[in-house]
Amino acid sequence: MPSISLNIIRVGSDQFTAADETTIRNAIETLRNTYATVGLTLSRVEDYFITTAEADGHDVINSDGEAESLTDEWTIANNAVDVFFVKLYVGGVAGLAERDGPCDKDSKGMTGTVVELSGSTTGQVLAHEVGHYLGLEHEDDDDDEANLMYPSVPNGGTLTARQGNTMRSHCFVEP
Amino acid sequence: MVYVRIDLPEIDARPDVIREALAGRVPKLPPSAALALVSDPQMTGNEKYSLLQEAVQDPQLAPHVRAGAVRHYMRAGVRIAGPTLLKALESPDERVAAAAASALGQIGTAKHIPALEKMKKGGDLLRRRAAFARTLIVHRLGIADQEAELPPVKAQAAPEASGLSFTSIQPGRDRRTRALQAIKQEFPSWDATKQVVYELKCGPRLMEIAIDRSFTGTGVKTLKQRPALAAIIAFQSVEHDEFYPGLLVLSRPDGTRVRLTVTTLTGNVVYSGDGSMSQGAAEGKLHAAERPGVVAIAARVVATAKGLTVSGVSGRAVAFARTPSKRKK
Repeated sequence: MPSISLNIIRVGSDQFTAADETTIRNAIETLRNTYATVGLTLSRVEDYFITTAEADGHDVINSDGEAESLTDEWTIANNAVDVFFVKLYVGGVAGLAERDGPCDKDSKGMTGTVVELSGSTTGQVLAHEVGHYLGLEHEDDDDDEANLMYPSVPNGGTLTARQGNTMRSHCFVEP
Repeated sequence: MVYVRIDLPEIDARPDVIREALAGRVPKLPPSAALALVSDPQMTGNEKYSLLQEAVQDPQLAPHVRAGAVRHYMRAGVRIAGPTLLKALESPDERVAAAAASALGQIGTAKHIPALEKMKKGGDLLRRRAAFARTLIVHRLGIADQEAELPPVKAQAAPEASGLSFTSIQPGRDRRTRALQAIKQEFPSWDATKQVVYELKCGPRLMEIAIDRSFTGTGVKTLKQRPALAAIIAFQSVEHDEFYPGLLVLSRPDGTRVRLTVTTLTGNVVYSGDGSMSQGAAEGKLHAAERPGVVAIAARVVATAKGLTVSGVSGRAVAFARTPSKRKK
Protein backbone atom coordinates (compact mmCIF):
# COMPACT_ATOMS: atom_id res chain seq x y z
CA MET A 1 0.00 0.00 0.00
CA PRO A 2 1.33 3.53 -0.73
CA SER A 3 3.02 5.11 2.27
CA ILE A 4 4.63 8.30 3.51
CA SER A 5 7.22 8.95 6.21
CA LEU A 6 7.60 11.78 8.69
CA ASN A 7 10.56 13.49 10.38
CA ILE A 8 9.23 14.68 13.73
CA ILE A 9 11.40 17.63 14.78
CA ARG A 10 10.98 19.18 18.22
CA VAL A 11 12.01 22.85 18.20
CA GLY A 12 13.26 23.86 21.64
CA SER A 13 13.36 20.16 22.52
CA ASP A 14 14.61 20.73 26.06
CA GLN A 15 11.28 22.44 26.85
CA PHE A 16 9.17 19.49 25.68
CA THR A 17 7.51 17.68 28.55
CA ALA A 18 6.23 14.12 28.82
CA ALA A 19 2.74 15.51 28.18
CA ASP A 20 3.99 17.15 24.97
CA GLU A 21 5.45 13.82 23.84
CA THR A 22 2.09 12.18 24.47
CA THR A 23 0.41 14.92 22.42
CA ILE A 24 2.85 14.27 19.56
CA ARG A 25 2.31 10.50 19.67
CA ASN A 26 -1.47 10.96 19.71
CA ALA A 27 -1.21 13.41 16.82
CA ILE A 28 0.75 10.90 14.76
CA GLU A 29 -1.92 8.28 15.44
CA THR A 30 -4.62 10.73 14.32
CA LEU A 31 -2.73 11.28 11.07
CA ARG A 32 -2.18 7.52 10.62
CA ASN A 33 -5.87 6.73 11.13
CA THR A 34 -7.09 9.60 8.95
CA TYR A 35 -4.81 8.80 6.01
CA ALA A 36 -5.63 5.08 6.25
CA THR A 37 -9.19 5.92 5.23
CA VAL A 38 -7.91 6.88 1.76
CA GLY A 39 -5.38 4.08 1.39
CA LEU A 40 -2.24 5.91 2.51
CA THR A 41 -0.17 4.39 5.30
CA LEU A 42 2.50 5.87 7.54
CA SER A 43 5.63 3.78 7.21
CA ARG A 44 8.51 5.51 8.99
CA VAL A 45 8.57 8.11 11.77
CA GLU A 46 11.99 9.50 12.69
CA ASP A 47 12.56 11.65 15.77
CA TYR A 48 14.77 14.74 15.71
CA PHE A 49 15.67 17.40 18.25
CA ILE A 50 16.65 21.08 18.02
CA THR A 51 17.55 22.49 21.42
CA THR A 52 16.35 25.91 22.56
CA ALA A 53 19.90 27.22 22.20
CA GLU A 54 20.15 25.89 18.64
CA ALA A 55 16.66 27.15 17.76
CA ASP A 56 17.79 30.78 18.05
CA GLY A 57 14.36 31.95 19.21
CA HIS A 58 12.41 29.89 16.63
CA ASP A 59 10.80 27.86 19.41
CA VAL A 60 8.28 30.73 19.47
CA ILE A 61 7.07 31.55 15.94
CA ASN A 62 6.09 35.20 15.58
CA SER A 63 5.27 35.31 11.87
CA ASP A 64 4.93 33.14 8.77
CA GLY A 65 8.37 34.38 7.78
CA GLU A 66 9.87 32.87 10.90
CA ALA A 67 8.12 29.59 10.16
CA GLU A 68 9.58 29.59 6.66
CA SER A 69 13.05 30.46 8.01
CA LEU A 70 12.83 27.50 10.36
CA THR A 71 12.22 25.08 7.48
CA ASP A 72 14.92 26.76 5.39
CA GLU A 73 17.56 26.64 8.11
CA TRP A 74 16.98 23.03 9.14
CA THR A 75 16.30 20.00 7.03
CA ILE A 76 16.81 16.25 6.88
CA ALA A 77 18.07 14.78 3.66
CA ASN A 78 15.60 11.95 3.19
CA ASN A 79 12.24 11.37 1.49
CA ALA A 80 10.11 12.11 4.54
CA VAL A 81 8.03 15.22 5.29
CA ASP A 82 9.81 17.49 7.81
CA VAL A 83 7.37 18.37 10.61
CA PHE A 84 8.58 21.06 13.00
CA PHE A 85 6.69 21.04 16.30
CA VAL A 86 6.77 24.35 18.17
CA LYS A 87 5.32 25.26 21.55
CA LEU A 88 3.83 28.58 20.42
CA TYR A 89 2.81 30.02 17.05
CA VAL A 90 1.77 33.58 17.91
CA GLY A 91 -1.79 34.33 16.82
CA GLY A 92 -4.66 32.05 15.94
CA VAL A 93 -2.63 30.13 13.33
CA ALA A 94 -1.83 26.60 14.47
CA GLY A 95 0.14 25.32 11.51
CA LEU A 96 1.69 26.30 8.21
CA ALA A 97 2.85 24.43 5.11
CA GLU A 98 3.58 24.93 1.44
CA ARG A 99 0.90 23.38 -0.74
CA ASP A 100 2.37 20.56 -2.82
CA GLY A 101 5.66 20.85 -0.95
CA PRO A 102 8.92 20.07 -2.72
CA CYS A 103 10.78 16.78 -2.64
CA ASP A 104 14.04 18.70 -3.08
CA LYS A 105 14.25 20.10 0.42
CA ASP A 106 17.07 22.46 -0.60
CA SER A 107 14.73 24.36 -2.89
CA LYS A 108 13.72 27.95 -2.20
CA GLY A 109 10.58 28.47 -0.13
CA MET A 110 9.03 26.48 2.67
CA THR A 111 10.37 22.92 2.69
CA GLY A 112 8.54 21.45 5.64
CA THR A 113 5.51 21.99 7.82
CA VAL A 114 5.29 23.85 11.13
CA VAL A 115 2.79 22.63 13.71
CA GLU A 116 1.96 24.21 17.06
CA LEU A 117 1.34 21.94 20.01
CA SER A 118 -2.28 22.91 20.55
CA GLY A 119 -3.67 20.22 22.82
CA SER A 120 -6.33 17.91 21.48
CA THR A 121 -6.45 19.59 18.06
CA THR A 122 -2.76 18.90 17.36
CA GLY A 123 -3.52 15.68 15.48
CA GLN A 124 -5.84 17.40 13.03
CA VAL A 125 -3.39 20.26 12.58
CA LEU A 126 -0.63 17.75 11.80
CA ALA A 127 -2.76 15.75 9.34
CA HIS A 128 -4.04 18.99 7.75
CA GLU A 129 -0.57 20.49 7.23
CA VAL A 130 0.98 17.29 5.93
CA GLY A 131 -2.09 17.07 3.67
CA HIS A 132 -1.14 20.48 2.23
CA TYR A 133 2.42 19.31 1.72
CA LEU A 134 1.11 16.29 -0.17
CA GLY A 135 -0.88 18.56 -2.48
CA LEU A 136 -4.26 19.16 -0.85
CA GLU A 137 -6.01 22.51 -1.02
CA HIS A 138 -8.43 23.98 1.47
CA GLU A 139 -12.05 22.84 1.26
CA ASP A 140 -13.73 25.97 2.49
CA ASP A 141 -17.39 25.75 1.49
CA ASP A 142 -19.88 25.72 4.35
CA ASP A 143 -20.72 22.07 3.68
CA ASP A 144 -17.04 21.08 3.93
CA GLU A 145 -16.83 21.47 7.71
CA ALA A 146 -16.44 17.71 8.10
CA ASN A 147 -13.38 17.66 5.85
CA LEU A 148 -9.87 17.59 7.26
CA MET A 149 -8.89 20.39 4.86
CA TYR A 150 -11.50 22.83 6.14
CA PRO A 151 -9.43 25.94 7.01
CA SER A 152 -10.00 25.68 10.76
CA VAL A 153 -9.74 23.00 13.43
CA PRO A 154 -11.37 21.12 15.01
CA ASN A 155 -13.27 19.82 12.01
CA GLY A 156 -14.73 16.46 11.02
CA GLY A 157 -11.32 15.17 9.96
CA THR A 158 -12.52 13.24 6.91
CA LEU A 159 -10.87 12.85 3.51
CA THR A 160 -12.45 12.06 0.15
CA ALA A 161 -11.30 9.53 -2.42
CA ARG A 162 -10.31 12.43 -4.69
CA GLN A 163 -8.09 13.86 -1.98
CA GLY A 164 -6.56 10.42 -1.43
CA ASN A 165 -5.66 10.25 -5.12
CA THR A 166 -3.99 13.66 -4.93
CA MET A 167 -1.95 12.71 -1.87
CA ARG A 168 -0.84 9.37 -3.31
CA SER A 169 0.58 11.12 -6.38
CA HIS A 170 3.05 13.22 -4.35
CA CYS A 171 6.71 12.47 -5.00
CA PHE A 172 7.33 11.60 -1.32
CA VAL A 173 4.84 8.73 -1.44
CA GLU A 174 6.46 5.31 -1.72
CA PRO A 175 4.56 2.57 -3.57
CA MET B 1 1.87 28.78 1.99
CA VAL B 2 -1.31 27.52 3.54
CA TYR B 3 -2.27 27.31 7.14
CA VAL B 4 -4.93 26.16 9.50
CA ARG B 5 -6.48 28.35 12.12
CA ILE B 6 -7.72 27.25 15.49
CA ASP B 7 -11.49 27.61 15.52
CA LEU B 8 -11.91 29.48 18.75
CA PRO B 9 -14.69 28.18 20.95
CA GLU B 10 -17.54 30.56 21.55
CA ILE B 11 -16.40 31.80 24.90
CA ASP B 12 -16.80 35.11 26.59
CA ALA B 13 -13.25 36.42 26.30
CA ARG B 14 -13.25 38.00 29.73
CA PRO B 15 -9.87 38.82 31.29
CA ASP B 16 -10.23 36.02 33.86
CA VAL B 17 -10.88 33.46 31.08
CA ILE B 18 -7.91 34.72 29.05
CA ARG B 19 -5.74 34.57 32.17
CA GLU B 20 -6.66 30.93 32.69
CA ALA B 21 -6.10 30.16 29.00
CA LEU B 22 -2.62 31.69 29.08
CA ALA B 23 -1.85 29.30 31.91
CA GLY B 24 -3.04 26.43 29.70
CA ARG B 25 -6.11 25.70 31.79
CA VAL B 26 -8.88 26.31 29.22
CA PRO B 27 -9.57 23.34 26.94
CA LYS B 28 -9.64 24.21 23.22
CA LEU B 29 -8.15 27.65 23.84
CA PRO B 30 -4.36 27.27 23.63
CA PRO B 31 -2.17 30.12 24.92
CA SER B 32 -1.31 31.29 21.39
CA ALA B 33 -5.00 31.77 20.58
CA ALA B 34 -5.54 33.46 23.96
CA LEU B 35 -2.77 35.93 23.12
CA ALA B 36 -4.47 36.60 19.79
CA LEU B 37 -7.72 37.30 21.65
CA VAL B 38 -5.97 39.74 23.97
CA SER B 39 -4.78 41.64 20.93
CA ASP B 40 -8.28 41.76 19.53
CA PRO B 41 -9.16 45.41 18.99
CA GLN B 42 -12.54 44.73 20.64
CA MET B 43 -10.88 44.61 24.03
CA THR B 44 -10.32 47.97 25.69
CA GLY B 45 -6.78 49.30 25.86
CA ASN B 46 -6.56 49.17 29.64
CA GLU B 47 -7.79 45.57 29.85
CA LYS B 48 -5.54 44.49 27.03
CA TYR B 49 -2.35 46.11 28.29
CA SER B 50 -2.97 45.10 31.86
CA LEU B 51 -3.40 41.44 30.83
CA LEU B 52 -0.32 41.47 28.64
CA GLN B 53 1.80 43.21 31.28
CA GLU B 54 0.67 40.62 33.81
CA ALA B 55 1.54 37.79 31.41
CA VAL B 56 5.02 39.18 30.71
CA GLN B 57 5.72 39.44 34.43
CA ASP B 58 4.13 36.22 35.68
CA PRO B 59 6.89 33.71 36.55
CA GLN B 60 4.28 30.95 36.83
CA LEU B 61 3.49 31.13 33.10
CA ALA B 62 5.47 29.02 30.65
CA PRO B 63 8.43 31.00 29.28
CA HIS B 64 7.29 30.62 25.66
CA VAL B 65 3.91 32.14 26.59
CA ARG B 66 5.65 35.05 28.34
CA ALA B 67 7.92 35.53 25.32
CA GLY B 68 4.84 35.58 23.08
CA ALA B 69 3.19 38.10 25.41
CA VAL B 70 6.27 40.33 25.09
CA ARG B 71 5.74 40.44 21.31
CA HIS B 72 2.12 41.52 21.72
CA TYR B 73 2.77 43.97 24.55
CA MET B 74 5.54 45.70 22.60
CA ARG B 75 2.90 46.95 20.16
CA ALA B 76 1.58 49.25 22.89
CA GLY B 77 4.64 51.43 22.33
CA VAL B 78 7.52 52.47 24.53
CA ARG B 79 5.58 54.77 26.84
CA ILE B 80 3.31 51.96 28.02
CA ALA B 81 5.43 48.85 27.53
CA GLY B 82 8.95 50.24 28.03
CA PRO B 83 9.21 49.95 31.83
CA THR B 84 7.87 46.38 31.91
CA LEU B 85 10.14 45.29 29.06
CA LEU B 86 13.11 46.79 30.87
CA LYS B 87 12.25 44.64 33.90
CA ALA B 88 11.72 41.58 31.69
CA LEU B 89 15.25 42.07 30.40
CA GLU B 90 16.40 40.94 33.84
CA SER B 91 14.21 37.81 33.77
CA PRO B 92 16.03 34.68 34.91
CA ASP B 93 14.56 32.91 31.89
CA GLU B 94 16.73 33.71 28.90
CA ARG B 95 13.87 33.30 26.39
CA VAL B 96 11.81 35.98 28.12
CA ALA B 97 14.80 38.29 28.48
CA ALA B 98 15.81 37.78 24.85
CA ALA B 99 12.27 38.54 23.64
CA ALA B 100 12.30 41.71 25.77
CA ALA B 101 15.66 42.72 24.28
CA SER B 102 14.36 42.30 20.73
CA ALA B 103 11.22 44.27 21.59
CA LEU B 104 13.28 47.11 23.07
CA GLY B 105 15.30 47.21 19.87
CA GLN B 106 12.09 47.91 17.97
CA ILE B 107 10.53 50.43 20.33
CA GLY B 108 13.29 51.56 22.72
CA THR B 109 15.07 54.89 22.95
CA ALA B 110 18.65 55.92 23.71
CA LYS B 111 17.95 55.67 27.42
CA HIS B 112 17.49 51.88 27.03
CA ILE B 113 20.97 51.38 25.58
CA PRO B 114 22.83 51.07 28.93
CA ALA B 115 20.45 48.30 30.09
CA LEU B 116 20.97 46.43 26.82
CA GLU B 117 24.76 46.81 27.12
CA LYS B 118 24.64 45.12 30.52
CA MET B 119 23.30 41.98 28.83
CA LYS B 120 26.75 41.27 27.36
CA LYS B 121 27.22 38.97 30.32
CA GLY B 122 24.03 37.01 29.57
CA GLY B 123 23.62 33.71 27.74
CA ASP B 124 24.38 33.46 24.04
CA LEU B 125 20.84 34.13 22.78
CA LEU B 126 20.30 37.08 25.13
CA ARG B 127 23.73 38.54 24.39
CA ARG B 128 23.15 38.44 20.63
CA ARG B 129 19.59 39.78 20.86
CA ALA B 130 20.61 42.61 23.20
CA ALA B 131 23.61 43.56 21.05
CA PHE B 132 21.38 43.76 17.98
CA ALA B 133 18.69 45.67 19.89
CA ARG B 134 21.30 48.27 20.77
CA THR B 135 22.43 48.38 17.14
CA LEU B 136 18.85 48.78 15.97
CA ILE B 137 18.19 51.67 18.37
CA VAL B 138 21.37 53.40 17.18
CA HIS B 139 20.24 53.03 13.56
CA ARG B 140 16.56 53.85 14.14
CA LEU B 141 17.43 57.05 15.93
CA GLY B 142 20.49 57.90 13.81
CA ILE B 143 22.82 58.19 16.79
CA ALA B 144 26.11 59.15 15.17
CA ASP B 145 28.42 58.99 18.18
CA GLN B 146 27.78 55.33 19.12
CA GLU B 147 29.52 52.32 17.66
CA ALA B 148 27.04 49.87 16.17
CA GLU B 149 27.94 46.23 16.45
CA LEU B 150 27.04 43.91 13.61
CA PRO B 151 28.67 40.51 13.24
CA PRO B 152 31.02 40.10 10.26
CA VAL B 153 29.55 37.94 7.53
CA LYS B 154 31.03 35.92 4.74
CA ALA B 155 29.30 36.52 1.40
CA GLN B 156 27.93 33.66 -0.66
CA ALA B 157 28.94 33.32 -4.28
CA ALA B 158 26.56 35.07 -6.66
CA PRO B 159 23.71 32.92 -8.03
CA GLU B 160 23.77 31.58 -11.55
CA ALA B 161 22.33 33.89 -14.17
CA SER B 162 19.52 31.36 -14.70
CA GLY B 163 18.09 32.22 -11.29
CA LEU B 164 14.95 34.25 -10.60
CA SER B 165 15.30 37.86 -11.71
CA PHE B 166 13.57 40.77 -9.98
CA THR B 167 13.07 44.51 -10.53
CA SER B 168 11.24 46.91 -8.23
CA ILE B 169 8.07 48.73 -9.20
CA GLN B 170 5.73 51.09 -7.36
CA PRO B 171 2.80 49.25 -5.77
CA GLY B 172 -0.84 50.23 -5.83
CA ARG B 173 -2.40 52.05 -2.91
CA ASP B 174 -3.97 48.97 -1.30
CA ARG B 175 -0.81 46.90 -0.88
CA ARG B 176 1.18 50.00 0.04
CA THR B 177 -1.28 50.87 2.81
CA ARG B 178 -1.52 47.35 4.18
CA ALA B 179 2.25 46.90 4.21
CA LEU B 180 2.75 50.20 6.04
CA GLN B 181 0.08 49.27 8.60
CA ALA B 182 1.77 45.93 9.24
CA ILE B 183 5.14 47.58 9.78
CA LYS B 184 3.62 50.23 12.01
CA GLN B 185 2.17 47.53 14.26
CA GLU B 186 5.66 46.15 14.95
CA PHE B 187 7.39 49.56 15.04
CA PRO B 188 4.87 51.79 16.85
CA SER B 189 7.00 54.96 16.79
CA TRP B 190 7.79 54.59 13.08
CA ASP B 191 6.18 57.27 10.91
CA ALA B 192 4.25 55.52 8.14
CA THR B 193 3.31 58.85 6.57
CA LYS B 194 6.93 59.58 5.65
CA GLN B 195 7.57 56.45 3.63
CA VAL B 196 8.04 55.84 -0.06
CA VAL B 197 7.17 52.25 -0.97
CA TYR B 198 8.61 50.05 -3.71
CA GLU B 199 7.47 46.55 -4.54
CA LEU B 200 9.57 43.57 -5.47
CA LYS B 201 8.34 40.26 -6.81
CA CYS B 202 10.76 37.37 -6.85
CA GLY B 203 9.24 34.04 -7.85
CA PRO B 204 6.05 33.66 -5.79
CA ARG B 205 7.37 36.07 -3.15
CA LEU B 206 5.95 39.60 -2.96
CA MET B 207 7.59 42.20 -0.76
CA GLU B 208 7.13 45.90 -0.09
CA ILE B 209 10.19 48.04 0.65
CA ALA B 210 9.35 51.09 2.78
CA ILE B 211 12.02 53.79 2.64
CA ASP B 212 11.99 56.96 4.70
CA ARG B 213 11.38 59.81 2.27
CA SER B 214 14.19 61.82 3.88
CA PHE B 215 16.69 59.31 2.45
CA THR B 216 15.49 59.70 -1.12
CA GLY B 217 16.41 62.28 -3.74
CA THR B 218 19.05 64.68 -2.47
CA GLY B 219 18.44 63.32 1.04
CA VAL B 220 20.42 60.20 0.15
CA LYS B 221 23.56 62.00 1.24
CA THR B 222 22.42 61.85 4.88
CA LEU B 223 23.25 58.14 4.78
CA LYS B 224 26.92 59.19 4.66
CA GLN B 225 26.53 61.22 7.82
CA ARG B 226 24.98 58.86 10.36
CA PRO B 227 23.71 55.32 10.84
CA ALA B 228 20.15 54.81 9.70
CA LEU B 229 17.34 52.32 9.47
CA ALA B 230 17.13 53.07 5.76
CA ALA B 231 14.24 50.76 4.94
CA ILE B 232 11.94 48.08 6.28
CA ILE B 233 10.86 45.22 4.05
CA ALA B 234 7.41 43.68 4.57
CA PHE B 235 6.53 40.31 3.06
CA GLN B 236 3.14 39.20 1.88
CA SER B 237 1.83 36.00 3.36
CA VAL B 238 0.14 34.59 0.28
CA GLU B 239 -2.53 32.59 2.04
CA HIS B 240 -3.41 35.15 4.69
CA ASP B 241 -3.05 38.00 2.17
CA GLU B 242 -1.51 39.95 5.03
CA PHE B 243 1.87 41.60 5.29
CA TYR B 244 4.45 41.29 8.01
CA PRO B 245 7.79 43.09 8.39
CA GLY B 246 10.58 40.60 7.82
CA LEU B 247 13.81 42.41 7.01
CA LEU B 248 15.53 45.63 8.08
CA VAL B 249 17.96 47.57 5.91
CA LEU B 250 20.60 49.21 8.10
CA SER B 251 23.10 51.66 6.66
CA ARG B 252 26.14 53.32 8.17
CA PRO B 253 28.95 55.50 6.87
CA ASP B 254 32.15 53.62 6.05
CA GLY B 255 34.82 56.07 4.91
CA THR B 256 33.74 57.45 1.57
CA ARG B 257 31.18 54.68 1.16
CA VAL B 258 28.02 53.50 2.90
CA ARG B 259 27.80 50.00 4.30
CA LEU B 260 24.47 48.24 3.87
CA THR B 261 23.34 45.34 6.04
CA VAL B 262 19.99 43.58 5.70
CA THR B 263 18.94 41.66 8.80
CA THR B 264 15.99 39.78 10.18
CA LEU B 265 14.05 41.50 12.97
CA THR B 266 16.16 39.62 15.51
CA GLY B 267 19.47 40.59 13.94
CA ASN B 268 20.52 37.68 11.75
CA VAL B 269 22.42 39.16 8.82
CA VAL B 270 20.89 37.97 5.56
CA TYR B 271 22.42 40.29 2.95
CA SER B 272 25.29 42.76 3.05
CA GLY B 273 27.05 45.11 0.70
CA ASP B 274 28.02 48.69 0.22
CA GLY B 275 27.30 51.72 -1.88
CA SER B 276 28.76 54.94 -3.13
CA MET B 277 27.32 58.34 -4.00
CA SER B 278 28.00 61.13 -6.38
CA GLN B 279 26.00 64.17 -7.49
CA GLY B 280 22.95 63.21 -5.46
CA ALA B 281 22.76 59.70 -6.93
CA ALA B 282 23.69 56.51 -5.14
CA GLU B 283 24.44 52.98 -6.20
CA GLY B 284 24.92 49.90 -4.03
CA LYS B 285 25.32 46.15 -4.34
CA LEU B 286 24.10 43.40 -2.04
CA HIS B 287 25.11 39.76 -1.69
CA ALA B 288 23.65 36.99 0.44
CA ALA B 289 25.35 36.06 3.69
CA GLU B 290 26.69 32.56 4.09
CA ARG B 291 24.29 31.33 6.76
CA PRO B 292 21.75 28.52 6.98
CA GLY B 293 18.56 29.03 5.03
CA VAL B 294 19.70 32.04 3.01
CA VAL B 295 19.34 31.89 -0.76
CA ALA B 296 22.11 33.47 -2.87
CA ILE B 297 21.30 36.81 -4.48
CA ALA B 298 23.07 39.51 -6.43
CA ALA B 299 21.15 42.78 -6.10
CA ARG B 300 21.79 46.28 -7.33
CA VAL B 301 20.23 49.35 -5.72
CA VAL B 302 20.21 52.63 -7.65
CA ALA B 303 18.84 55.82 -6.08
CA THR B 304 18.43 58.96 -8.17
CA ALA B 305 16.31 62.10 -7.88
CA LYS B 306 13.61 60.20 -9.79
CA GLY B 307 13.41 57.37 -7.29
CA LEU B 308 14.83 54.01 -6.39
CA THR B 309 15.37 50.85 -8.40
CA VAL B 310 16.24 47.49 -6.90
CA SER B 311 17.06 44.73 -9.35
CA GLY B 312 18.97 41.50 -9.47
CA VAL B 313 18.93 37.73 -9.52
CA SER B 314 18.07 35.25 -6.78
CA GLY B 315 19.13 31.61 -6.65
CA ARG B 316 16.63 28.79 -6.59
CA ALA B 317 18.08 26.71 -3.77
CA VAL B 318 19.00 27.15 -0.13
CA ALA B 319 22.58 26.43 0.82
CA PHE B 320 24.04 25.44 4.17
CA ALA B 321 20.90 24.00 5.81
CA ARG B 322 21.57 22.28 9.12
CA THR B 323 20.44 18.82 10.23
CA PRO B 324 18.75 18.40 13.62
CA SER B 325 20.17 15.87 16.05
CA LYS B 326 18.64 12.40 16.31
CA ARG B 327 19.40 12.38 20.02
CA LYS B 328 17.76 14.45 22.71
CA LYS B 329 20.37 16.66 24.37
